[in-house]
Amino acid sequence: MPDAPEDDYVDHPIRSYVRTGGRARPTHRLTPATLLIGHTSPRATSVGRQEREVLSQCRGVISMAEMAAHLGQPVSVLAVIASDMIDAGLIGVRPDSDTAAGPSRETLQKVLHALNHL
Amino acid sequence: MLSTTSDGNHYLAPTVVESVKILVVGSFGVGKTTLIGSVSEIEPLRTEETITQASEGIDELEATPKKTTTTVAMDFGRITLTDEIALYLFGTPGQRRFWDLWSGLAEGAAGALVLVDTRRLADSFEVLDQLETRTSLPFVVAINQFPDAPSYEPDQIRTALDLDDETPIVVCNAKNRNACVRALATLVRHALKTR
Repeated sequence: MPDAPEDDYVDHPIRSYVRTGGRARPTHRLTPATLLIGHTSPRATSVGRQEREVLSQCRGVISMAEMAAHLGQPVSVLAVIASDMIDAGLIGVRPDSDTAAGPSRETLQKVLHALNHL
Repeated sequence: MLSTTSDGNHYLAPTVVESVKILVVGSFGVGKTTLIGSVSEIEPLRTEETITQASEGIDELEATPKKTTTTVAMDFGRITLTDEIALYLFGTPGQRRFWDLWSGLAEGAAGALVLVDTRRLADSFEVLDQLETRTSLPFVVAINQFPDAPSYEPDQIRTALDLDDETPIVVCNAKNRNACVRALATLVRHALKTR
């Protein structure tokens, strides 16, 4: 796959934050490498279209970046929606995924060992 | 290879509890997406972020500063390394004007692989400058050896890019999976040394 035409600027046709009710900041730290996990038995609750879209992509363990790519939304917009859904108990988050402090020494050693044996 | 769920590669194995990220930075067209595609277990995916920037080089005669909203693409891939750990590779343009986009990515990253094209060494200056001045990320310089590119000794590259003696330099054909994996291993080894 050749390098993407990354410097092709495209004006965005819609204001992304219309989707989030104008809010730009999620209440959880949700980064592209944060892992979300769908509950196997989602709570029976009425949710909106945004939430249904997220739930449809969250039937296992998946990163924010992957979900954003599948939904065609910026990670920053998904973060606002997903954050509310975590608060509502609709989806879960892996607390050790992409922490602000970075990986522990022990984790890095596991990563190195695995890379050396790929 | 570890198995994933019945949805093929859509989801990670349910045992994965931890994610580690590495940034693949470099100037446009240097081979970031190629490298990610060489090692990723999924087809590289793309997300787009909108960034709003004040227009540069325009006299601000009006009351409202001119701002432009642009979309920047970020390609990424993943490798499930153990039952519990998934590694994510994010290809990000490293230039100053994209700092807002990748500052959040840099936080918590294991390190950065800086892809360099020897035909356009000067294009790497700004990327390296941003890494050095605005992050404390450990990084490795990976020379993406293009067939028609001049070949330099690592010491010549080190001098040309004004790199510290400690910064590892590897030669890495971005199309070669093994070479890319070795470059990533060099980065993680370097990250372990620097903490």
